[in-house]
Amino acid sequence: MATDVYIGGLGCVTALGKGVDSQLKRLKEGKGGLGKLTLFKTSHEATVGEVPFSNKMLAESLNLPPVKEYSRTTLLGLAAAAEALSDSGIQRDGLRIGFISATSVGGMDVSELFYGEYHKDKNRGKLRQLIGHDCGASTQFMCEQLGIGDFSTTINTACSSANNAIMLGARMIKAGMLDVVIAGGTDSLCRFTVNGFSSLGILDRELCRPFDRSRAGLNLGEGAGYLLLCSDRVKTSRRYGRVTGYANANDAFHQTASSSTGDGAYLAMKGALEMSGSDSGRIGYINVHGTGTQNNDASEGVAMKRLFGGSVPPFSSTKGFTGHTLGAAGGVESVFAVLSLYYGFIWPNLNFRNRIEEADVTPVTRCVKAGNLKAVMTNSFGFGGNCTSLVFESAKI
Amino acid sequence: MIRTNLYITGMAGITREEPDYKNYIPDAGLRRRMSRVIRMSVASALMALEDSGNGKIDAIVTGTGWGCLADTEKFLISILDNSERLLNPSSFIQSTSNTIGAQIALMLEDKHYNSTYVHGGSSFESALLDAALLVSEGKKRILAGGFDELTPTKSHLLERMGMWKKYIPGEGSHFFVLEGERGEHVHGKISALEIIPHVTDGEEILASLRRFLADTGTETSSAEIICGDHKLLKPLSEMGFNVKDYKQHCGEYPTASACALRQALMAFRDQKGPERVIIVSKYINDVSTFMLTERS
Repeated sequence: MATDVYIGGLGCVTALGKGVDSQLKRLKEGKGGLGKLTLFKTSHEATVGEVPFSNKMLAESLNLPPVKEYSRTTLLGLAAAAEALSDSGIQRDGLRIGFISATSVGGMDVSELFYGEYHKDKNRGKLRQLIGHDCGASTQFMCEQLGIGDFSTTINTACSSANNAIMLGARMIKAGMLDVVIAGGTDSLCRFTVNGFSSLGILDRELCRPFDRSRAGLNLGEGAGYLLLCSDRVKTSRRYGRVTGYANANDAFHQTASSSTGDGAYLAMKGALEMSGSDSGRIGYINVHGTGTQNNDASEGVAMKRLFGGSVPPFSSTKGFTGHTLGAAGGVESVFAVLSLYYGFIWPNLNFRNRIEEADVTPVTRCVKAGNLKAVMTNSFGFGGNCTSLVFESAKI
Repeated sequence: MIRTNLYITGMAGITREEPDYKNYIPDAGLRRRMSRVIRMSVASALMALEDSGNGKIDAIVTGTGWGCLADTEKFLISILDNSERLLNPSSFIQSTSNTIGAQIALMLEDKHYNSTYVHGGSSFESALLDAALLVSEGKKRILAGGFDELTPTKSHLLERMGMWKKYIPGEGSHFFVLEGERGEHVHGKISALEIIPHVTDGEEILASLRRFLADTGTETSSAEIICGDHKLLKPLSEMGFNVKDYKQHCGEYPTASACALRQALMAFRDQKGPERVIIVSKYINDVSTFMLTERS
């Protein structure tokens, strides 16, 4: 019989602060973390969700030697992954532990510095700045720091990456390959993505307004979020819930745009729901992808209507709190969804006023105490039509 | 070690010579917009599918160590040269590593499972591990591939790091159709896979390899080793194995093991060839991986 997959630890860093407690406090208060970009110089007037700590502060808090130049992606990831590990309180002896991390920018923040020099003169640029460029390099470094020795890999399916990392972790535990997996994602802000999303014309200079009729684009964010997943035989301080459903589907419509029928989103949500064995009425909350772009929210809204009909569960996008953390979004928002399930709250969708035109769906706009939540869902969709949904259920069977 | 039965019913690869892409990507505009790694990979994916008789697939899993470097660089240059103004988003869109898996899904209109691994020298093996899981979960046919493009800049940077004094520059794209059950036309099968999670060298890696050989019951008489870690060529041949350096053919790049897999399967075409081929891989200073392939 396939084993159940439990969530035994959480770790998170976002614009709301460092640590799960900071996230919980700000989510309850409905206080977002978006503001002006200060990390690097750019000509864009972007509203972003910056983690309020410098690289130096992050490295110090992780006891990393100050001589090396770490990518911000690595620092954010390590802070969150280490928190998930210590939060679980596991005794590592005899356990097969894996680390599955997602990232879409990798060490780009440092590579940009290199390339600025290299572009002027091909003999310039510090080569050591390139060591962390590849996405896998950040994972490998974090893995060594965490002392995880049984398995590690990195996933990049753009903005759905971290949900796929959590999905792979759950599958490996189910298959009996590992006992414990720390899975999630990390991405830092960098000039590359600020310019990229700007060139696509989907950055909102104002605060993003997910699922609102007047929405005009996304705000970029940064951060990291990891779940410590484990099999039934692993003892953890707490059991936040179980991973009972997951599905990955492809919209196969356009390299960046989502279909108006929301096929990918619909198939991912439907697949995850069916796998969990729950009927749709059991889902008490959906942390939607809800980026605040015209296209995503319309497509996702249509997909929710297709799946849930007249009884779409209470839902919200938390991107008004953190911005869109790209490859980390699935990790951060899985943490938020698990917190919702465990503490019994539905997080508010900030900056909402009027319903979108494309689908009859209205998000929850105030933090609501919801005792007895049995199951929650979280969605992450990315470039290339990659859509992945997860279902978490209460640990009490 | 992961035991599995992945039967290979289709394969194709592009290493040194590039084919006429028109046959696989007929849309001239699309072909032009694609960077070389996208063209190479999409074409080899379609060629592998063709080799297995086309038909439905249940998943696409890909691995790349370097990712879409050409588009990444193109967009970086445009940011610098145009002072962040009026940038063309095409290269940004195509800069993410999942572009290839996504492009294949688009062309095949395939809405199934689709994932991309970007873990340096074990990216392709991670994709294979996912394929092994998918098959154990009941999926029937999986398209899996590994690819990397050596752009002029990547080559120049590795040269500055002194790598080309020790390694042969390489690149390539290889795709395979993997099935959980033995079909009629089979090139061979992957029966075991090991990804050593730490960077190890010397005696330690040999010890891991000896364990892998013992656990899979591999003997020198019936097995050949194709090896992508030049430091191991001598000790392995001293162990009595027939050893070949597969990177003589494809050069050094993170997913060269995908090329090695194709070379192993080619060896099974020869009736007098080995019953088993062990693939030993390592990309520069990255982790080591082992694969057991068998005639089927």
